[in-house]
Amino acid sequence: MSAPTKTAVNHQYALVVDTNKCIGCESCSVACRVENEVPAGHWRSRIAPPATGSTKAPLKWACMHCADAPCVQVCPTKATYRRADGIVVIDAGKCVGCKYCIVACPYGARYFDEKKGIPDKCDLCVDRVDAGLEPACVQTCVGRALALADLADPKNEAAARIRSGEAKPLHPELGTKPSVYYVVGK
Amino acid sequence: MAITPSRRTLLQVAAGGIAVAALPVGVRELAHPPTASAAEAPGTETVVTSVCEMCTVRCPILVRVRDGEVVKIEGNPEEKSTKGAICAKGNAGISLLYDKDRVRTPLIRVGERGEGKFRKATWDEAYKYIADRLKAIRPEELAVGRRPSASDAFLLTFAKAFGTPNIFTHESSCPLGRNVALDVTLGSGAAIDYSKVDYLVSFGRNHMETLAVPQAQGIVAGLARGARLVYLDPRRTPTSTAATTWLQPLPGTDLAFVLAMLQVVIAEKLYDQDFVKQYTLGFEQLAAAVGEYTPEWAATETGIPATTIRDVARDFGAARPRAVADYGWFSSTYLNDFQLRRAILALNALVGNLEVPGGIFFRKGLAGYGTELGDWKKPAFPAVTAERVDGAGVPGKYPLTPVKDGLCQVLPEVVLTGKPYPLKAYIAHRFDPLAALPDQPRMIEAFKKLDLLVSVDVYMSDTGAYADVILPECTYLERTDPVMEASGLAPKIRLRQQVIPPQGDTKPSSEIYQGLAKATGLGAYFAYKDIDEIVAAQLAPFGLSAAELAKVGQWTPPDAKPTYLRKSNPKAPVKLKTPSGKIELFSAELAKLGFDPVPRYTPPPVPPKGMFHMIQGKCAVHTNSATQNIPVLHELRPSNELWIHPVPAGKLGIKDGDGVVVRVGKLEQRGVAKVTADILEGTVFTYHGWGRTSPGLTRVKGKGIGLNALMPVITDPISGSLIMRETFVEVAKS
Repeated sequence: MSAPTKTAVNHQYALVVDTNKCIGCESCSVACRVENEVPAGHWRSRIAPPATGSTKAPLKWACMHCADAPCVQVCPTKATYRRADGIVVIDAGKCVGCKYCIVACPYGARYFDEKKGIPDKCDLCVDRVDAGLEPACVQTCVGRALALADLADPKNEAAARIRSGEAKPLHPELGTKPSVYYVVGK
Repeated sequence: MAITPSRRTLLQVAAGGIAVAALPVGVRELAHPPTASAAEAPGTETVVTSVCEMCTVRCPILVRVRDGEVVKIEGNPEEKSTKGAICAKGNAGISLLYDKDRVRTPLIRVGERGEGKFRKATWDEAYKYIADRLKAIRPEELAVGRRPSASDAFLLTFAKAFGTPNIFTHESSCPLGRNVALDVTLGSGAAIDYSKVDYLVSFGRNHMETLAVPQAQGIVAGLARGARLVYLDPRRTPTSTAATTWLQPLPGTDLAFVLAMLQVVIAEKLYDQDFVKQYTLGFEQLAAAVGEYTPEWAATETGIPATTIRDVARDFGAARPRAVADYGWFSSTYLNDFQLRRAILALNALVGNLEVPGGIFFRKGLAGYGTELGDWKKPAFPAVTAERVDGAGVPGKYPLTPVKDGLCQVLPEVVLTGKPYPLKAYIAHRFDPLAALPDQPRMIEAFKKLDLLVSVDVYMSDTGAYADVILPECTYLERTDPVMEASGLAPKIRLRQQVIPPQGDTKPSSEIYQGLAKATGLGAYFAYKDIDEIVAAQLAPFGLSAAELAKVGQWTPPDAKPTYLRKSNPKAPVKLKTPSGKIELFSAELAKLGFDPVPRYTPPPVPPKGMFHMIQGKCAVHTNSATQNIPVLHELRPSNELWIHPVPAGKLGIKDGDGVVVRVGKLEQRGVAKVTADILEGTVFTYHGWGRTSPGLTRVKGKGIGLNALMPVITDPISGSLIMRETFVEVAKS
């Protein structure tokens, strides 16, 4: 993945996961894996299956792109940073591979890519997004459960679900202000 | 194959030579001509339209290529029923393409059958080896079996030119019973207008996991706008979670539930009387037959409360005509399955959902449109005098079984007994009968007795390990196939086109069977230059070129519109291909054959004390027994487990994660227990496709449980379908 540049953009990205539409098929997991050339044994995004007896939907799980991201705070070289548009990315050139971020992330979103020598994670397919495309997971979603929201766009439908409170972050009590929002319950 | 017409430059290279991962590209952009210089620039991506083959659904795809390598597969957003989505398997096509476990050259066996010891051979050597043995047998002594594919024409042409009637598909181990029920009741296959259904009842059709992307997406969209889904399954599945109502019937009792629904809909006059009068035959007989099947009766059979059954029937009737009872897909279940499908179709007929939005419709194919795909020229096939070994289509045997499918399960019996006559050679194409069909020990015995066993596949399958010759077919990303029809409410065709050249020394079917035919003296039937010539001949009647079709990847005649025959006029004539031209609630044909002409109840067998019902299913990341070794998909789900309820597990001393042994008589399989309340107490479950034996499947070999191995062959006397749920198993801690 190329080193993302800090572009001054008038976007504020977030991801909306409508769990009512998620069928747990793992299409997003594989699309992400292939798109981002994630090495064998690692996943940037996975589906957590519902527990036995649970009537809850499966849950797509990846980097939450937190506004107050612990990974950003602990990074000694500022390799991990949050772009102005809200996407948390890693500058591979600055990363020294100390793995503090892996430990710091309360959502367990990071893995260490031995080949690249960096603790990698979902970057919301930043290159695709910069090119005006949807992230790979959104593009491939069978149930159309995923949507890239732009909170800077007053007409964006997915953003409206966040503003209305219909879509909520997971574990807000952790205080990291995630940018991935879930619609839960029918 | 020229793929340039559809290759389009998408993105320039970022500074520093790091390829930018961008692309797709609406098809509008695809329609622009490529710039030659950009197309050649290293790091530039091109996109090729094609069709997936990771399962049988064949979703349209866009394949991104960079520097001669496939880098990503995406759904084609031009297809409205998928909107650019593909499933995990479709996304993993690249993992199959570049898998080191693929067979890359023809192989000729040097070890014992099953050892998996082969030597590399040239194609000519392999052809000659096969041809020499085929020349030594009578035409009907050859059998060919396959999972249906867009490349079928080549194997079928070879088999018909050779002169054998013994041509099989795998269908009798999957949807055959349903297909025959559709033929008998509606006169042909049909489709469900999922996205517009308001009230869907699914009898174990696990849409959210046994995925057909267009179906799942349509149902999810329907649920989001308030449609209801009632789902019956003894096991909690992703469809249970998505459904508005999930019911757990005792295994094999779905028919009781449907009969009771029929009883309520008729007794309470919830049906469409005008529709029934105009379009159906045998309502009176049906009404008389189901009169005794009250919800109270069905409650004792199914374990589902009578009030629930009555409520579902009433809701179903109230939602007409946008109420559909799903007639399902896999139907190789119980001996009452055929009548279950018939009863479900009767339920649909009562609510008059035929050919209206949100109902059931017939595919509006090219045949009805008036112009059909062309073909390559070939001589007439030799007349076949021998009767089929399986009795498919034969009076007194399996007259209702389509001869294009047959009963693939008969092979071991026929080979080992030599009756009705010997089968001496078997070509299994894209089909692994040893992994997919019951009674493994006899299948192996039969394989060992054959003079010739050929496996045409991308991997050394379980069957392949027993073969004399393995012919490595290239994957769908490395070949162009004949144009395929994908009609729905309007006619539609699609093109699977070659994206990159075949890897290693692999070949497409169009070349494999041409080469084999030449070696066997049947070259005249394959007198084409290449697949491009065939595609051009197919498209000629439409005045369409392959390049034009490839632009978007699919094409509908411009004047053909999506059509529901009864949308604007509920009394519009609908021609059915049944003997009466109507929906046959009563079938004189079945009566004549000595079967129930209207659906009646036969209870499923009940397991003896200490034994379990055994059910199997498919997971969302694997297809039948074809994908378990594909690296990425294997990583997602490397093995299966035996689902068992905590109560019986406790009695047997089995804890979650314990090793278990599953037995049927002297046969056994070993695996790991998943102790879960998500299954009924008297039933155990596994995902299908494990228990694999081929040394060529390096990742999956030896993992998980293959329940097929334990089952005897049981055949439905009506449809010829295999019956794979009436075998009971013992479970113990291992």
